[in-house]
Order: sequence, then structure tokens, then C-alpha cells
Amino acid sequence: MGPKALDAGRHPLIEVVSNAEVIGCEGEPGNFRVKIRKNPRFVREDLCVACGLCVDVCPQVQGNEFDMTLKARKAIYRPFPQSVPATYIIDREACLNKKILVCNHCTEACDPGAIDFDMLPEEREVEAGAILVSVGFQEFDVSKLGNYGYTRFPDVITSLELERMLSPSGSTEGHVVCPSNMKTPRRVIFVQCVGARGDGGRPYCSRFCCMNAVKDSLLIREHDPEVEDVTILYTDLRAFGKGFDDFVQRSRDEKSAEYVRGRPSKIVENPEGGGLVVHVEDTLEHEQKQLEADLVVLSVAAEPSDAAVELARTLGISTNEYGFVAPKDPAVSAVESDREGIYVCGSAVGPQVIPDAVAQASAAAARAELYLCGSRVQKSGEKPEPLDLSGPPRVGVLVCSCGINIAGVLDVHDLKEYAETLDDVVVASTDLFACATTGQDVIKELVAEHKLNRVVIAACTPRTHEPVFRDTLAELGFNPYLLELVNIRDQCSWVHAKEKDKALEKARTLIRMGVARARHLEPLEEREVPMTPAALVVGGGIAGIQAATDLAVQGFPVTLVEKADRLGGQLASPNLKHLYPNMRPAAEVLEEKIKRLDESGARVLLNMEVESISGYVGNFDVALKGAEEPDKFGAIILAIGADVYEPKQGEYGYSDLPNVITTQQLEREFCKNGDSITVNGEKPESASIIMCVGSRDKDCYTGCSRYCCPTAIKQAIQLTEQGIDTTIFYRDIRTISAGAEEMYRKARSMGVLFIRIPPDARPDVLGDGKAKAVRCFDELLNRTVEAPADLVVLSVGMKPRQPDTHFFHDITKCSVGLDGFFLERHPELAPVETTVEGVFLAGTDQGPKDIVDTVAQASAAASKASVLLSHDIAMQHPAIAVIDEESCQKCGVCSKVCPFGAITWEKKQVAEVVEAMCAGCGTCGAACQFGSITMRHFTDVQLLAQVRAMLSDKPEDKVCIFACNWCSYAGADMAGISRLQYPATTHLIRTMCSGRVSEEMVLEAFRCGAPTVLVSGCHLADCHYVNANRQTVLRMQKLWTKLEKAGVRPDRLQMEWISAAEGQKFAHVMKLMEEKRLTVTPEEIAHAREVLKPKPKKAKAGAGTEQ
Amino acid sequence: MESKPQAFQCMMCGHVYEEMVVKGEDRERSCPECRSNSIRLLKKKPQAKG
Repeated sequence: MGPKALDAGRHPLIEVVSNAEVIGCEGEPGNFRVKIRKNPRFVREDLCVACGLCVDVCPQVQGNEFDMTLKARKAIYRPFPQSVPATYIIDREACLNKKILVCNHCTEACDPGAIDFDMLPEEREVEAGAILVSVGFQEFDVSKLGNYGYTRFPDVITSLELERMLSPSGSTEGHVVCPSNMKTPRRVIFVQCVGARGDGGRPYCSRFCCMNAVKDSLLIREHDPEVEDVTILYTDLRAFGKGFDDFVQRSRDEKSAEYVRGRPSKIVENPEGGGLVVHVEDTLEHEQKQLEADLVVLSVAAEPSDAAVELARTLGISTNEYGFVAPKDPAVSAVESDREGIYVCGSAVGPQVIPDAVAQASAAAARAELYLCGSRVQKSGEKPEPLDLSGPPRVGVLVCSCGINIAGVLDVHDLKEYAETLDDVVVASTDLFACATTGQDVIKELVAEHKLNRVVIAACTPRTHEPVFRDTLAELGFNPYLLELVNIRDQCSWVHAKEKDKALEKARTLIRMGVARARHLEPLEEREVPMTPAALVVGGGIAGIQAATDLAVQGFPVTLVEKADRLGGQLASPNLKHLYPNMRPAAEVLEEKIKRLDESGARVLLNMEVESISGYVGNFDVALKGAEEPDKFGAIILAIGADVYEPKQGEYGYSDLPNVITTQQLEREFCKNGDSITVNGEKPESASIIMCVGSRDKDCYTGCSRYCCPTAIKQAIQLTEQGIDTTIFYRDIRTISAGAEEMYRKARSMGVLFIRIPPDARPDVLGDGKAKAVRCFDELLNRTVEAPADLVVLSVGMKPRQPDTHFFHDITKCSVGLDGFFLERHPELAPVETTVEGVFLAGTDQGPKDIVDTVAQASAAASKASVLLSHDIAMQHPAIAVIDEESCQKCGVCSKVCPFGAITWEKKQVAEVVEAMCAGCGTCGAACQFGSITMRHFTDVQLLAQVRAMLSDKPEDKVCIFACNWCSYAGADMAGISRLQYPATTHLIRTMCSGRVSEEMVLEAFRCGAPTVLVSGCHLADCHYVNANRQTVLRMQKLWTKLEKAGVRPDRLQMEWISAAEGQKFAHVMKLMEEKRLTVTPEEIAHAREVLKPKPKKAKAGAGTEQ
Repeated sequence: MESKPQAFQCMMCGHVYEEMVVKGEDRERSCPECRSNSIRLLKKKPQAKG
């Protein structure tokens, strides 16, 4: 949340008008006039410096709404720590000045004179081309449901109240307690679907609650080991998102919670000595249970906020029967309201999980961009005057608590004090959220006050947060390449949560390493390369069509390449008859989309394939089949789609029995015969649909395919309408898309039978020559049931499209996840970006999704691409190789190992780097035996300083690991995100490529006393620098031989290939490295230190510029 | 394609094994016993054990 809010707050083209409401809207798309009333906050935003002195003197105390009133605030307060703007506000109703007394304490305490009690509401008019509505949701009022005892029993709380407890800035600073006695509960029970799915409240599913409860159970276990039991009472576990099922499985494996299927009938006080008793029927165990609990958490439904309904009325857009903004066409797009030019995203249109909300937000922005042409974002031409950062290093260290993420495990004050003892550190500080506006202000203040010329931030991974901090420093005129980000969260507090002392020791070491590197950092300037303002969209399904249209209508040249002879993919006739939930004909939707694509001016190439892609962001060279010369593109959108699972012969009788078909075959039957389907020429009287075929299956795709449940229910309704008795065999009903829960209820009311099957059971298809019935154990009835079936439909899941996914992975180097789908850069912060700058994902090639989500993601990808293309230039990282002419021995080795041909060399000539072609892998620097190549930002001096700092204290207890930025380091972050625990002896040094790791770096680690060293990088075929990691393999072979000759056990040096998706492999390798470390004796360490000492060399003039 | 047997040793678990290697091939290796990628190319053919 912090980085996103910060980005919005400081963007030059975004004005944040807080404490305001829309009171009128006139005009038309492209020219709206929106009337806004800004309510007085009684604190002037232009004067308030957020020092907080006013809060200290304010005598009035009451509950803070943001903390669900579990925590106190003053009458003058800041709503929450990361709020943008970081200005205080006065609650006039609570303020004494409004009442009898004239207090004025805050006025007297405020030196800048920001307090202004005479402030009045201000009305202003804003001109806007388009309007985006993203007003979120509010919690359902659970006090309406008396049987749960909310408000009657203090220890019955809502999930949002629990969230505030689990927040470090919340009421209990991250610890879960019983409000009645402020003690840690021993037994916690989560109750799902409270006020949702018809439980006396809202009929729809709130989508996020299941995973939220699973996540909270893990968090509670992590932070409060005294909690003995956590139980989750659920109806259907709706783990529908990418990786969600694996997350639930992990919770089961780690026993973070016990899962009981059932809805409580009531919650009462325990008559036998305190606590609560939850009465529930366990519908899988078939018994009434009275579960004792100290704390009950109600996972409460989301509902539209009252203000949202009012806003919709003001804007003249429709809401649905529940009060959410009604999309114009719920079958195709969730972001278009029924008033042209007004778009909606996030929970304003219905409850969302974060990845979907973020993708939708970008999609809404893409649609809005249509009306903003000519006003696109341009990089600000105004740059602050560069600060004079010369002189000896003056390092400032900021240790971030990251809420409870770091501070829950590490003592950040200890780390601050430790940092103060390090060489050249002139100041160290801590902050609750370094990436929030307040944290950024702290950084700026530290730089200014202490005249820093190096900044070290000990926080989270540089892979996501380095740009945030760099931008902050750049605003000051501070060269952003003098920043070092130390990863004490993803690679420390998250992965060593169970051994806090060791984690603290590791964090100290990591900070020491960061400071050591920072002392040698040098200011660098980014390179500007021309941007080719054109985009390539690969794939002509609904995702490709949408992405291409969204870009082309903005005026960007777009080429859409489709290898088939027509557009539409899975949507094209005769594949799909109707779309849920409004049963709109698929052919009509596709026709409309293709018409818009035609009108957009995009170039569409059918029967066309991509042969190769090279180059980099802003300048991709794409060779199309048959073309004489490659085309140039600034951005690429991959929309290659997914395949559906093809059942094996005999699987549920498929292909053996003529009346066993797949979802897609039934859909084609609907296309062909409409309201009177036949199977082998006969009208069936009964049908059975078997769910999760090829999904949630360890032998196929372990995740949920998302589209199958609503599709099966839609088909069941269609079959029932034709007089065919229909039964659905399911594991969990996951009707999460808009209108799907209503379809589910409609199907039940029409008589469709739903039979819940155990996770490990497979229904038997009975019949000889043709299917006659389906038999399976019904978990709810607790007996085996048999349903007649003249027709058996296998509801098949999705799988990565091959060989296309492999092919585009090979030529773009975009990472692929363990599930075989393309891997997004970050599931929440960057769901459509890839690890390759300038390449984006649209649709099901990133993971299974239905049409609405596919269209939203395609628009999101287009939006991200348009931001890039709207610039005249692309900025390139300045970390490139530089050759020292004086010391170059003209051997040409660097030229031979460069995977990009970026180094030119002729016999007896000094080698030269072609800057525009250098990608910065650093392989040349590692290969140069004469120290003549400086790999900027990852110099020998900087990396060796890290090695030495790591091993300067208790080296025998440390495993030294070199990890490439793109894969192994990302794999370590993935282990962190997944909270996989591994030994705290492991310490990472990040390089851009494993090819950057020189012999000298490895040998220096052994000289410094490292028991074991690991060099890790991308899998060979995945190298982000073509094939630079082949040099790693060759170098390792040499090193093993060298170590052996020196009498050093070669197995003390290891090499592993770990992808960004392989968090589990990373954690496993760390355990193996620790086991290996324990086999190394002190004598062996001492021996290696001695025998690997460098032999004195004759000095060459100018050689070894970095040494 | 020309191929010949080549000896390898896993530096993680110590497993020594032989594999046919096609001249000029460029592929990722992992130990058939423990799946580690720390695979060292041995200069000499391994002696048969046991």
C-alpha cells in the first residue's frame, strides 16, 4: 500500500484532493465538469509539516475509526500512518473549541501556524476527460445478525478488527488478544461467510475472505505461538486465484488451522468458566459440535459504502440491486459504467481480491486514456540541481520496521544502534514504514541534516522497492545510484521468524555488508535511448483484441499477430454460445470487439508467427515469419492464451464412451443445436457434470481454473431448461465472478443437484458401450450416490499453451512459474508486468481466468504499455561495462564471452564497449584477468567489500551465496513471500548475472574464512543475458579444479540454478548448504585461508584499476 | 551427432555417474540422485565400483 499511495501522492500530474466529495457532474466524455466540495480539515495542508506536536497537547481522546475504534486518537490526528497527504485533521465534533471551552492548545503548539478554525468548506470545479470511480467497500453491519453475539460478547470481533490488531501500528501492535482481558487467546475460531452468500445479509460472495482467514491463521501462528488452536469454519473454500490453492495446502501442511465445514447456528458464553462456545454442525463429519473458543473472528461480508451509492447518483451511473456500480456489460467488462467516459474499478463494482483490483484499476485507466490523448504523462523536464556528494563517504542508515513484517521478528532499535558503529556511518534511524510518505520525509531530512552522500535503507527487496527510494532521493538532486537497499524482510525476518536471535545476527551482517558496499558506490547517470512508439500484441484472442484496441485508439501504432486464420480464440464460433451471467451471445460480443479493433487502426496479421525477438525496452527487434527485415517495437504484449485440459483416453470414460464429452464439446453442441441438444442423435434425459477435471490435481494443474464453476452452472441451467435432469459433482463451488452466485442459487432452485465429492475421490462413470450413470461418495449425505447420466460432461480446467509458452519464454526470457504459466513481476504490485522491462501479459497466459478478468487484464497491459510508449525516450540502466584502455592487455577474452556482441576487439587492439548494446551482465568483468573492466554499480571493489564485510565476524558460521538478480535472488524473495523457513546462516550477495561472479570473488570468500560458497543463477535456458551463465559453468569447472589442486575440498563450492518461481527450491538448497557447512572443520577453513592466498604479482602500470 | 561417454560428479552428494554427451551440446545438468546442479565434469572416466 505504501509505495502505491506514495506514487500517487507525488506524481506531478496527480492532485490528491482529500476530505472531499463530488457534488455534481456535468458534461460529456472528454469534457466533464465535476463539482467538488472540499470539507475543512482545519489544518492548512500547505503549512502543516506533520511534526505531531499538536497531537501531544490535545486533551481530547476518542476511538480512531481507522483502527475500528480499538485504539485512541486525539481530536487532532492523522488518520493512519501512511495517509496521503501526511497532513493532520481536526475532528470538530470532538474538539473542545467547538464546545464550551476555548482550548487552542494545538494552535499554540503549531509553530508554522497551520491550524485554522475559520476554515470553511470550499467548492471548486474540475475539468476532466474521464472519471474513474474507485470508492471501495464498507463492512456489513454484523450486529444485525444476533446469533453471532457481536457487540454482546467482547471477544467476538470482525476480520477487519483482527487486521487492526495484527497491524504493528494498530491497537495491539501486531499481537492478537481477547478484548475482554487483553490476554492472548489459546483458541481462535474464524467464522466464514458472515453476512455473505445469503446468511441473513448479502447474497453474493465477498471473494477475499477465505484467503484472508487462511493468511491470518498463518500470521497468528507466526507472531503469537501461544495460540494453540485455530479453526476455520467454512462453506466452500474459495481459493480461486493463482497460487491460492497451494497457499491453503501449505496452511494444511503446517497445521496453521483446522478446517471444519459448517456454519455456526449460534455463539454463546461458555457456562463452564469463561470463553465462548460455537455451536456448529460439521457437515463433513456429520455431527453437531460445540467448539470452545477464547476469540471468535467473524469474516464479514463486504458491501458498498453508503457514500458510493450517493456518488453513483451524483455521477448519473447505475448501481445494481446491491448498491455496487453496475457494469455496462457484466459478461465482458467490469470497468465500464453505463455512462460513457465514467469507469469503475476495485470493490466499487463488487468485492475483489487485490491482484484483480490492481489489474482492474489499470484497465479502467486504459479506457480513460482514450479521452486523455494529448495530455499523456511526460517525464518532467525539471530536474533538481544535483547535490554536491563529493568527499569521503557519509553514510546514513534507515532501518524500516515494515509494520510488523520486520519489527515483529527483528529488534530494529538494536539494528539502528549497530549501524551507528559501522565505518563512515554518520547517522542511523528507524521508521515504521520507510516507503510511506513519512518515511520518505525522514530520508530527505536525514540527507539534508547530516549532509549524507550515501544512503542505506534496511527494508525489503530492491526488486520492488528500489525504484521508490531512488525516486525520493532523485527529488532532492541526490544521485539515486548512491543508495543501497538491504533486504532484511524477504530474506531475513520472513524466513527466519522462528529463530529471532539468529535472524537479528543475520540482519546485522546484511546491514554491515550494505554499508560496506555503499561506501564504494559511485554516482551514475541513466542512459537515454530513443523509444519506438509502437507495440506488438502477440495473440488474437479476446485478450489480444482488447489490448490492441486499447492501445491503437490512443494513436499508437499497433501490430497484432495471430497464427490462426481468424481472430477470437476460444470465443470464436462455434466454441462458445452464451456468456454468463447475462447470457449474451458470444458471437455478438466478439463481432463487436473485432469491429472496434478494425476501427482502431491496428494492423492485424493473421496466419502470422513471430520467429525471434531481440533488443530491449523501447527497441525490440521482432522478426516475423517471411519478413525480410525485423520490425521495431517499443513494447510487447503477450496474449497467447491457454489451452484447455484434454482428458486422457478412458479418464471418466472419455473417448471410450460416446456420451462423455468436455465442457467445450457441450458448448459447441449448444452452438450447433441451440435449445435442443442431442447426443449421438438422441435427446438426453439426464446429465452429470464432473468438476475439476485437470484442475486442483497434482498430476495436472494444482490450482483452480476459475472459469469452470460458473460455466458448469450456466450449462446446467441451460440443460435443465431443456428438460434434462442435471447433477453437478463438485469439490467446492467457486462462483466468484459477478452474478455467478445468483446463477448458483437459480440452478438449485431449478432442481439442479449438487453433490460434494471428497478432494481425493474420483466419480465413477458407469455404463458399457455408453455412460448411463455417475457414482460417487457424497460428503454431505455421507453415503455413495448414483446419478443417471445420458450425458456426462467433464468440466476441464486450463493449462499453459504449449509449445507457445516455451517458445516465447525462450525468446523473451520472461519467467515462467512452476505451474507453467508466465510469471507476473509481483502478484499484487505488478500483476501484468513481467521480469523483462517492456514485456507485458494479457489474459490466460498468466494464469486461468474468465472472460471478464481476461478483458480487464488485457486493458491493464495496454495501459502499462501506453505509459512506456508515451515517452520519447526509454531510460536505460547505467550499469554497463567500461574498459580501462591503459591496463587492457588486448587479449580479446571479454569480446569472446560477451553474449550481446557488445565488445569490439581486433588483434593487438584495445577492446571497446558499444554502450547501446551492453546489457550489463558483467560477464566480461569476471572474465578479464587483468582487472581492466569495471562493471558499473557491481564493481569488483563493491562486491568484494560485501564478501569481506559478511565474513569479517564469525565467518565459520556463514554460508556465502552469490545470487543473480533475475532468478535466484527473486527465488529467495519468493521463499520470503511464501514464508518458507531456512537456516539463518545463509547470506546473499546480489549480482545482475551469475556470470558476473569472478574467480577472485569466490576465492576471496574462502580466504576470508567462508566454510561454503554457492554461486546461483537462472536455469541455463532462462539466462536473462542470452547465455552468460554458460560462462558460470565453465568458471566453476576451473574453480573446482583449482580448489582440488590446492588441497581444498571442492564440494565447499556449489552451483545451483533457481528460478524466480522456485522459492521452495531456494529454501531446500539453503538447507543443503547449511548441512554442507556443518561438515567443514575449522582446520579445513584455516587451510583454505592459507593456501588460497594470492601469489604476489609484478605490478603493471595502471592494472587493476578497481583494486 | 557424435557422442561419447563422459564422467560427472555431483559436488553436493558426491554421486559419480556416466552420461553420453553429444559434442557441442549445451544443456543443464542435474544429479540423477539428488537433483543438484553442482555437476563437475571429470577428466577421467570413473572406475567401476563394487
